[in-house]
Amino acid sequence: MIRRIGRRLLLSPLMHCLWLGLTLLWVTAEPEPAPVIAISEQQIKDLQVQWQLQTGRVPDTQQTERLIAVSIEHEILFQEAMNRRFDQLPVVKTRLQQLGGFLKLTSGGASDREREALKLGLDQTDPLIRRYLISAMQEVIAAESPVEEPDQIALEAYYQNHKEQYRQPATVKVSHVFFGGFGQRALDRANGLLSSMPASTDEAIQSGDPFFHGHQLPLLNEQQLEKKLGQEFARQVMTLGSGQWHGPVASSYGYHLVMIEEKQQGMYRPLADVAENIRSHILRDRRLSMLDQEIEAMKRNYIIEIADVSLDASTITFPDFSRSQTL
Amino acid sequence: MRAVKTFLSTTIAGALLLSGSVLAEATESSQTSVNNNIPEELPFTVTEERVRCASYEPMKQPLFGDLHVHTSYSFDSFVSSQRNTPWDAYRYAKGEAITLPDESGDQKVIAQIQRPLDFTAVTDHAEFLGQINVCTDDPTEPGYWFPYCMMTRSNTFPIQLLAASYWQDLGVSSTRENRDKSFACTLSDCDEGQAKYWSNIQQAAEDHYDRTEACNFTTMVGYEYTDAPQYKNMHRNVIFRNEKVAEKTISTYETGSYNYPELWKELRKECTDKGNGCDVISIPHNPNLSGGLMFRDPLNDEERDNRIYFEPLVELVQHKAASECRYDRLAGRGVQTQDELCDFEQAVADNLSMLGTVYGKVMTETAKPVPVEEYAPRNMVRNALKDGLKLGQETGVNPFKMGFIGSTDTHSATPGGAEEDNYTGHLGKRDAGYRNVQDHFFDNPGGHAVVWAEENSRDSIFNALRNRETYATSGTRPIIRFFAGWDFTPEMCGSFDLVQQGYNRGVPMGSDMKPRPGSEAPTILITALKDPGIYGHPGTDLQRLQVIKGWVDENGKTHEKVIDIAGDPNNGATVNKNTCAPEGQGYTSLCGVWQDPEFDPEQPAFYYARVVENPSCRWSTLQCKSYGVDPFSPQCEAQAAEQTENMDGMGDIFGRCCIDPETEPFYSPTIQERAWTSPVWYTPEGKEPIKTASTER
Repeated sequence: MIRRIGRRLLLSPLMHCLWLGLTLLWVTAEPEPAPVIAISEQQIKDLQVQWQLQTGRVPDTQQTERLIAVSIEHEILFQEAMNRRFDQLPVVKTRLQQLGGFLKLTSGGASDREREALKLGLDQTDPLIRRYLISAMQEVIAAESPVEEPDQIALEAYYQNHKEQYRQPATVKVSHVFFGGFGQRALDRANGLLSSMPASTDEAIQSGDPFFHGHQLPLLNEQQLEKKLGQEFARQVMTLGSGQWHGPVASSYGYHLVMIEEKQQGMYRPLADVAENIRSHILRDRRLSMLDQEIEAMKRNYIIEIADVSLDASTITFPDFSRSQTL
Repeated sequence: MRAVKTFLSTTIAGALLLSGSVLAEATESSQTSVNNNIPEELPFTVTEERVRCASYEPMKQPLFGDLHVHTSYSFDSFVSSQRNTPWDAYRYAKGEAITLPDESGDQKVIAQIQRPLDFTAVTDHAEFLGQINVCTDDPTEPGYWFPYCMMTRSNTFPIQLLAASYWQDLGVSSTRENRDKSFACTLSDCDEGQAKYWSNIQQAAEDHYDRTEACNFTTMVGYEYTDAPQYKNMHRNVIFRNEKVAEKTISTYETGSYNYPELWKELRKECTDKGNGCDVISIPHNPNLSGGLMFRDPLNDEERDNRIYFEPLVELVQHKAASECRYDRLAGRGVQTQDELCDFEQAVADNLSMLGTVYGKVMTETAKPVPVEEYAPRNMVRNALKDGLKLGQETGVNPFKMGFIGSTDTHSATPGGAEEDNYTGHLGKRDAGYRNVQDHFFDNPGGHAVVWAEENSRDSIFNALRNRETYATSGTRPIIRFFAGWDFTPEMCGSFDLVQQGYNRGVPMGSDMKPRPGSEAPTILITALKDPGIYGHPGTDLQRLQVIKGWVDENGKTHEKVIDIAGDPNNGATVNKNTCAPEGQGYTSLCGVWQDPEFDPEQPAFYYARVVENPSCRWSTLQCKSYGVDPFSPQCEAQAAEQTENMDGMGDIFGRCCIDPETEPFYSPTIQERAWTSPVWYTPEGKEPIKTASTER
């Protein structure tokens, strides 16, 4: 019974149709060909001319190779972005409308202008749109390929390698008496006061000149201090001990007698405090290298044909805009 | 700490509606550390979780920063072979070295600032496609030479048609396959690509913000809103108060062109009206290149109120020239001024085409010099401020009450790279190496934004920006205090608590004057300390302090006056023409008290300070000399020709080094670096500004 049904099926015209169709499909359907990125001789020349226009120099072979590699990478990213219809993004549409407006191709509205710009293929050739699609694609690839969260070991290693970044410098709290000018007189006045220093800080300060930046500064590190009084002064003050008057110390403004009211030693911020910052650094580094890998992988889906020509550009005649008429 | 966090997150929305001090006090009590300077009640609202600074200073400290910085995220930076990201920009601001492209685009130049900054905002173009005007923006790029770009630059209609038909033929004759549409652009994909930049910018700011009590460095999240139809610059930097920012950047793609008031409306919707602690300002820059469009009369009350609320500041000086005032030496007159110091760092053109110079040649028609009488007066901020007084007199509200900051507008990720003797260019390879003097000779390294803040934290700095307690410098670091009151006396210059007195008896830069108590005239107190300099290079001495007064008379006519109040304009100081070392004496510090002898209580007025240094060599002089071309030498032109011959660049490279200042309206091989404080405003009694709900939040 089953055999009979099977036999009948085998002989049925409907089935023949099906078999035939499948066979035909098998014979004709090849896998979809990989897209081709061809870099022609003319394109290589164009790259070289552009480079020369931008830099005023003729590119050597190595530079030309680099130009070709970058242009292939950009073309891949551009095509991937187009495959995903990134050209439908509002920024691109607006740009096309503006280009349509520049060209004055139509008196119609925004969508007409966009259509006219598309007719000219400006979505493919406009440098702004290309650059936008390429970098949007880069960001999307990075976002789509999650990278591993750094573990404690990675955090610790990064911390040790970049420890100087996490150093909190020493700080001092300074009171000072100011003597304006750099003459001998200012120096004498400073030395005179130092030899008979009043007991109270206020009295001491008022024995000198007024200083518009204040006489009792908050806790500052060396860098903050030098912004107020100059580098020589800051460097010297950071070495002074606390509890007595020192000086005279020269600043950018004159001489100072200096009292260190308080001193806090420098230290490294503990890993726990900076872990979040380090995490962000590591993730960013990992994303960048992931992006490179992904682009490398994409490259394998394309057939890349580079014209087999000499990359030596020395025989090309370059346009010379320097001596041509300006617009 | 945890308790504080919970407290903050649960109450932040409500607390912001209350007076800020309630929240501040509660936060303080649980966080106060060693510093006994910190008051019980902070003078600014706390909107973020952080410890207070060890260097907290109730009498405030000057913090130097840059609020206008581009990285490779900006198209015009990227196309100039500039590859540093927002993270790198912050590293540079903190004093680390970064690598920049040389004139060929090779990443070979090591750039490092001599003195780190205190705060920085990276402000990449929100229009991630870059500037719409790329066609004229970068002549060294192939895009510039694309036919439709050349056509766009051309004003001749037949050429436009020609180019159009060229493209038409090309476009129609080429056959293009239909693309595979199976991978639809799902919303999430596309949005992710766009949103990623914005989140990276926020992450970089977070990574570099010092939230410890050392308070070494503050970052602010921001971006640039980039509207420049026909190269008329109406750009604004949008600066957020803290990490709570608009979900998406609001760009010209959202607002359309010629429509910056829409930016403010959107900022209300997406930020300040949200009640989540988001706060924001927008800072216009380069009104000098706006073709008169930056400060228009407000079209309606909403525009006026939003301008007042969102734009307390203007960027007065940066890479693409200064915008205080304009004096043409050759013409012997200025744009509504006779102030001869207004020949400082001016661009000859009045729009962004001024960047269009390549291989020594100006490539665009629109970059040509604009004569004094054709130059829009409000392109210069001093004139806009005067017109603001006039509008205030007419309508009851002054729409142009702006304080001053400077910044760089670097496109090389070099915030604070405003040092004349250490200037690596601000446009990537386009002004790297010799190309800086060749193509960007009339640009400059830019300036600093200085704020008087209690501490180096976002809340304290933002509070100072909103209150306009800020000043601009042209790149050096003099320290300027400015107070206005009714009873200041010259003896105050000799008092030890001058600053305390200034705050108690008067108001600081950026404020409205207190009501007039009797029949006195305003008194102004200015102190200046010269730039303390760096090791082995003390800053240049000061030359003089000036008060600049603007007012409007009963007939509605605006006036201005510049008064020297301390120092000596004829001190004979100069530079050594061989070494550029300063010669002659100036002042390490200056102090002056001035009373307005022409004060009329019926006339609205503003006063601000300008502090001028002794002469020093301009960056271009230093760089020309480093190539063996001496702008001071009678043999300059021969040297320039010889050195140009030696380079394998294109065009005339060093010719501009030898420009005779007698033949150029604004250029000089020596400059006088300077600082400008935010103004204070006097409004006649009974004419106090109407305060609307939307200007006073």
